[in-house]
Amino acid sequence: MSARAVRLCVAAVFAAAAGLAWPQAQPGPPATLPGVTISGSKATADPVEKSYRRMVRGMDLFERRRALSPQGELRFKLLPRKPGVSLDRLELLVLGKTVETPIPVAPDRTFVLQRDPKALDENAMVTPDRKALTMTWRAEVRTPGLAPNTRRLGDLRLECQVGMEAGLYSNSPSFITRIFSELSTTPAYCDNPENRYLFFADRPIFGVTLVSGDRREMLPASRLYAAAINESNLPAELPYCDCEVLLDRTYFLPLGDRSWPDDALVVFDFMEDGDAPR
Amino acid sequence: MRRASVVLSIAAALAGGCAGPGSLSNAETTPRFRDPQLSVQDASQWLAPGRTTRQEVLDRLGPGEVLRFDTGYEVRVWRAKGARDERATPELVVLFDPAGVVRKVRARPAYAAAR
Repeated sequence: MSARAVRLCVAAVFAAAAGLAWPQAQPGPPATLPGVTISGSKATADPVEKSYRRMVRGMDLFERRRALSPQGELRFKLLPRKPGVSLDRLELLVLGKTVETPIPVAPDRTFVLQRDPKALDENAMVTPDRKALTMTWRAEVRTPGLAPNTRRLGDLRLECQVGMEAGLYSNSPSFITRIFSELSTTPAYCDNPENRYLFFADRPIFGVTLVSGDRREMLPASRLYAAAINESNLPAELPYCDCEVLLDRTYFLPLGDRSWPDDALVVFDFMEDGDAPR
Repeated sequence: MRRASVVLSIAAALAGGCAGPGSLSNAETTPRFRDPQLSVQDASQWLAPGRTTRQEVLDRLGPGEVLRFDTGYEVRVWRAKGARDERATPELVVLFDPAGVVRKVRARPAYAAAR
């Protein structure tokens, strides 16, 4: 087996592990093939990598569906997944057979992916120097100029679609994905009235309110904290959720409810008042 | 096993959907306070952020449903169980700080049926 083929096998193992809606085994790093060296001098063993091609597909979708967010800017975001994991001084690379391109990561752990035909041709991976299941990914679409405690619903609709297209969804516990998990791997999932695409606020939230003109509706508690309130099996299930250390920031929205226009605002009431994100 | 439980969940959901539309019963819209006569609005007005303690809340309202965070914060919710339309179901949500004192209160009203 060629090094490239072996590398693809490893990527497939990781992708399968990350994409499983229902966990089949106890939490821990996915199986690795013995004796395999991932190409690139800075490669990390057992990395939490993503497909460059799929992330570019997400960027393409963002351009096609800009109507959802005419002023929005797309970045990708890295988030911690396990307790004690620091994402400070994180190094991120686009790694292919010959491509090895560093990606600048901003202090808020967001980054922009540049288009590189060679990386596409080599089916490169976007690879941080962190191990699998220690961190997670999201697309982030933000319209500039909004108040710090608000997001725009159209931005979040597009975030969901880009995230699905880019393969940035992760495995989730059964209490989140009881019914729809196997249907939840395409952008169309975001229009599903029952979708449970997990968003993470900048800080721990107490409440989330949708506002459009005179219409205001507080989200029910069932849409906060990954629906974990009173979940008896939470300690066992939580390690399977990429919300594990972000539970108090987690919410999901009625993205498929078109009675809420894209211009509707999502207004956060944070647990602690103040402007500084955690 | 997990797939089996999901299949059961789907079956239950379908069975629930076959019940057909109808007005929500009182049990579906009334939060489970210790005092069944207590309304969400009255309960929220009784709570005093910064003063009311968790024990006082438990004594007056009952335990509700709880989620504790690693930060020491705790959220408790009083809502009807098994409501078919969560939008039409009022709920009381209380945030306790790590010292066990009420920090924030949210009285979510019943909204009109989904548009």
